[in-house]
Amino acid sequence: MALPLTSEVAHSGAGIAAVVRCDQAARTYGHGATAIVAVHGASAELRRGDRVALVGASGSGKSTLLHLFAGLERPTSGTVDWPGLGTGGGRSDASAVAGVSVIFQGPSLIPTLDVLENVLVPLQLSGVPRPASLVRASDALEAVGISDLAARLPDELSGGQAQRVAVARALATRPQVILADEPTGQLDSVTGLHVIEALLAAAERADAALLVTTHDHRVADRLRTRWVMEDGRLNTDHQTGDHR
Amino acid sequence: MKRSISLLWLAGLVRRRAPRLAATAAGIALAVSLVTVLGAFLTTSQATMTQRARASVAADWQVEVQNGDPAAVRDQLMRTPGDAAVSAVNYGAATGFASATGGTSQSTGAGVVLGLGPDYRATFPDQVRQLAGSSDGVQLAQQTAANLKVVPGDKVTIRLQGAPPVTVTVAGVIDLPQANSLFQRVGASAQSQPVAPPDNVMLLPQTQFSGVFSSVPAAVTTQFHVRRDAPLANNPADAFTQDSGAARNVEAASAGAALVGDNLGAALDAARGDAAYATMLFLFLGLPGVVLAAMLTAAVVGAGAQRRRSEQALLRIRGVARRDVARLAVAETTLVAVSGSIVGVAGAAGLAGTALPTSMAGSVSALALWALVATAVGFLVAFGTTMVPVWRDLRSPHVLQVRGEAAAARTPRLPWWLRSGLDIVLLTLAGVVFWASSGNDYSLVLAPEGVPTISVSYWAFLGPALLWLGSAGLLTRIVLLALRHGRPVLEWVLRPVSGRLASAGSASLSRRGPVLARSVVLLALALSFAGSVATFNATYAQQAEADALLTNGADVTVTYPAGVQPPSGLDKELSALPGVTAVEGMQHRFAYVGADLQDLYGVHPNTISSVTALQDAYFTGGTATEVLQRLQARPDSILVSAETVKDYQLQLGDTLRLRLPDPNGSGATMVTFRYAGIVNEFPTAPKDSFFVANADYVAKATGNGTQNTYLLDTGGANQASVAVAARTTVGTGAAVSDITLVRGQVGSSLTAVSLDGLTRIELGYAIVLSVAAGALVLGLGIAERRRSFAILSVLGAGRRELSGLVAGEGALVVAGGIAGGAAIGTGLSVMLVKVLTGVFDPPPASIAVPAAYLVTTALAVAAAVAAVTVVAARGTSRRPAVEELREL
Repeated sequence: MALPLTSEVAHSGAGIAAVVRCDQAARTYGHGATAIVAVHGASAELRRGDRVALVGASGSGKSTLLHLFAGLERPTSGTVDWPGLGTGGGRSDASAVAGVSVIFQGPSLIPTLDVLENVLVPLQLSGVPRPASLVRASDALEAVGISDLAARLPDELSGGQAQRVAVARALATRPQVILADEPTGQLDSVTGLHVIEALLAAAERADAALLVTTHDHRVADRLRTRWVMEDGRLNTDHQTGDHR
Repeated sequence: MKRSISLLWLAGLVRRRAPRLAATAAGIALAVSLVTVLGAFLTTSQATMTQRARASVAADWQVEVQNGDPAAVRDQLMRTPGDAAVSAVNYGAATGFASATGGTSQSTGAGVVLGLGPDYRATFPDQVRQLAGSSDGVQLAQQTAANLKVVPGDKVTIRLQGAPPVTVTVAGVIDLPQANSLFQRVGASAQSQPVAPPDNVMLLPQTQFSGVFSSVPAAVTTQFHVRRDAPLANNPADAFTQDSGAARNVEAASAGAALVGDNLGAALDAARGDAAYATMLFLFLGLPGVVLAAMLTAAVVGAGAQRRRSEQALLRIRGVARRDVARLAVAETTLVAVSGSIVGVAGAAGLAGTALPTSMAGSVSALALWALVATAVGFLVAFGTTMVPVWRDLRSPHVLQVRGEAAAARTPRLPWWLRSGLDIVLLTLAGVVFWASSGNDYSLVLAPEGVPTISVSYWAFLGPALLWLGSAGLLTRIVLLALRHGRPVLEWVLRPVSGRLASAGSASLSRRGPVLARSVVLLALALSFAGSVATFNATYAQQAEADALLTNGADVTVTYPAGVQPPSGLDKELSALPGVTAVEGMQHRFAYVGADLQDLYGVHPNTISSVTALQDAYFTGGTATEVLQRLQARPDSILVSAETVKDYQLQLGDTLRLRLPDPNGSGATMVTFRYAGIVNEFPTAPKDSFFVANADYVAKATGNGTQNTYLLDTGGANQASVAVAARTTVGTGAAVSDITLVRGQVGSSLTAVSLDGLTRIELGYAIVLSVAAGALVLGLGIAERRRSFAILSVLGAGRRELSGLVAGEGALVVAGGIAGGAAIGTGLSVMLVKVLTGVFDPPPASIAVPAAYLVTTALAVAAAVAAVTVVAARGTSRRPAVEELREL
């Protein structure tokens, strides 16, 4: 059974420690004259309970900043650190930092695994014992309202269902940070909003920080905080009033 | 406009999908080059057979004058198109020859005197071989000279029926290598030909011959020997038709005055059967390779099918009409077909220059012809493997949902043809066909002597083809069932290499059953192709050597003419020659069974095997060892040919009374034997009927133990030098032959052509196909799943775990492929050798297993798959996962 959608309570964040912090973090691709600066010295913090919409035009550097937050890319200058999160021992350089779950825009499920197995993968990779991981995966599927799809293969799911599975997979790891990169980018608006609701519920349930990149204002309006990326520069001063 | 879109599309494909295009083109190139090279091999082989058949006869035609005017026949022959030289030969019958040398007189039975014109030996150089003395004047055949104990300079008396004897002086001693055809009964069927050429032969200059036989013209017949230069077709069968037609034309035009003994036709007649066998070899050994190359291409295309579907779906979503999507697919297919064909033909030309004999490499026209055929095959493969799935997709009224990777099966079901048990049915049918085609009355190629048509039993293909298909189906069934029910085992196997990914890995492998089964089956079929071709070729080489050994008897053989007593202690002298490891004396005599005269070999059963290899296939009713033990245990035992057993309705243990003529020509002795078994082949024995008996028993029963054949074993080395030493020891009194010379002369024209070139090509392709089947398909499959690996990587999978997953899949494909390949290859080899028994002479008792090649092939596949695994594993971690995800 899915959790009831929760209203996000406004909070200042005062007294809550940052779980992700970047300081003048920049990311440049290439060298010399052909170098492209995707992110210019961004400084920001994410705390538990944060609900952030990172908006901006295509190519503004949203995804790159998200990747920096996830530890999937390293800054070419400045720093990104995850105070309070585990070091992620045993994880590869290509993996997201332990405690951070990432949801991608396109299909991100393993097509040869069914829904339950897809949700189990990060738990198994984290070394969660099988009985416990089964319980957590089932709980996560129930939390996003798709436990009846557990035995289906990705090819048998709609786009919205597939993204819900991705949310469940993120939730199952009990993350402290959920980073979603255009999770509704390939969905119609109604389905996209359902996915966002599922994300919010998952973040609430995990008591995690949530950052969603999007260029859809309806999606951004569902989140309390709005950060704007413009030509690689991050502006964190925006607030939205449409959040619950 | 549409043309520019096609070009744009192709340019994009070349830039972004070059590996996939290259792999598809490589598969087509393999098929094209294989067809080209094998086709050129077939054409040039057949041409070589025709050339060799032509070169093997000393005189193409022997035209005998029948109650007509010899001059008129000569004029007619001179006018016949294609007759390059015509020379008259007179045959005179003598009642015997006599000599008086060294204080003793010798005489022979009936003989033949030939009168040759002055240009004869120059025109037909292979007919007469000078052994001693001068080539001018009277010549005596070697055996006659030995019988009469004369040397050049001695006198010999010719005895004639109804005329006084004539004495001549011998100028030289000669050998007549083609005595059988020289003394043939012109116009008679093969069954009516003399059993052996005359023992006593003298050659006289034509003027001298006329003088000797002037008083007995009835004893003389006249032939014209003809050398032809009419162009012949490459194919022996067509050449046979051309030649025999010309010969029949001469007979018809002469209105009965001339009868043609068509030696060239007889040689071509024999070669056309071999040519039919060559065609069968081409089909048996070449077709599977082409089919495999096509399957490989289909697998490569299949590996990128989902991506192609996605691209086509996107095009259709954006409003491109189905017809235009199909046009783009045709453009892509044409690109790979053209590039694959060009590479294939170029590769074939290169191979022809290195792997084939020079004569074949030079056959540009054959290469060009087959290049065209192969290009057609290449286009067929390209369009069959690419356009058929495209056409199928485009028929769907719905645009398929865009997915990144191939869809998985929830519970991989057996395909309908396996659920209906088709694989079992095919294997059962293969067994039935094999049983039917391996019966004694079965003949793959039937080329009745003298009949222009050749009957080739193409049904023979059915057995191996059904076995191939049935085995592939059964292996698919086994792999699918193992993957479906063996997940716990898979997880256990993957655990050490892929660690925490083992569970997901086993589930993934299990659901990828159809794809993995295809990879395993393709590799197994490629390996079975390699194995069966290698085994066939090794067995062929083994039997060719056995054939040479059968013909020559041993590494080196010393043969004295019948009736000539070798010097005492010769065996010891021969044993002492450097390089000789064993010497075995053997009696070669003749025996009458009823009215038939057959060869009889008296052997020492205990020691004969020390100098020559006796295969079990040489005997029926027991192994070689068992049969020889029978001869030893009961000395009056005799081994008889199957034909004689059938003709005389013999039962084991029956008494057989044979009349053995004395080798010196002084009467005969009746000897009682006991029939103890069937002998099919025996060293130095003829192809037709003969006897093998215990030498000691024959000596005791006839009072003559002369051993006129000595078999020398040299341990398989230095045969030529040992032969030279043996010649020095025995002088001109005996013939010495060694196996190195015989290898090039024996057997059919098929074995003479040699399968070396074909073997090199086949084995090379088999390795390439196996490696490609294992590595290419696996590599492309992994490449198509980069997104999954990137996602796993983001989710926390380490390099070791991902590499382990890739390695596990590779190991599964290799293990399944090698095991399946070994099983299918074994069955196919046995079937192939049995079905193609007619190619072997003698038939093999057991197949030869080329272990080194098979191990090398398996190692090459394992190494290639390992390399692909390593590269793929590196590829999964070389680039940041997010970059992969952005691109895919």
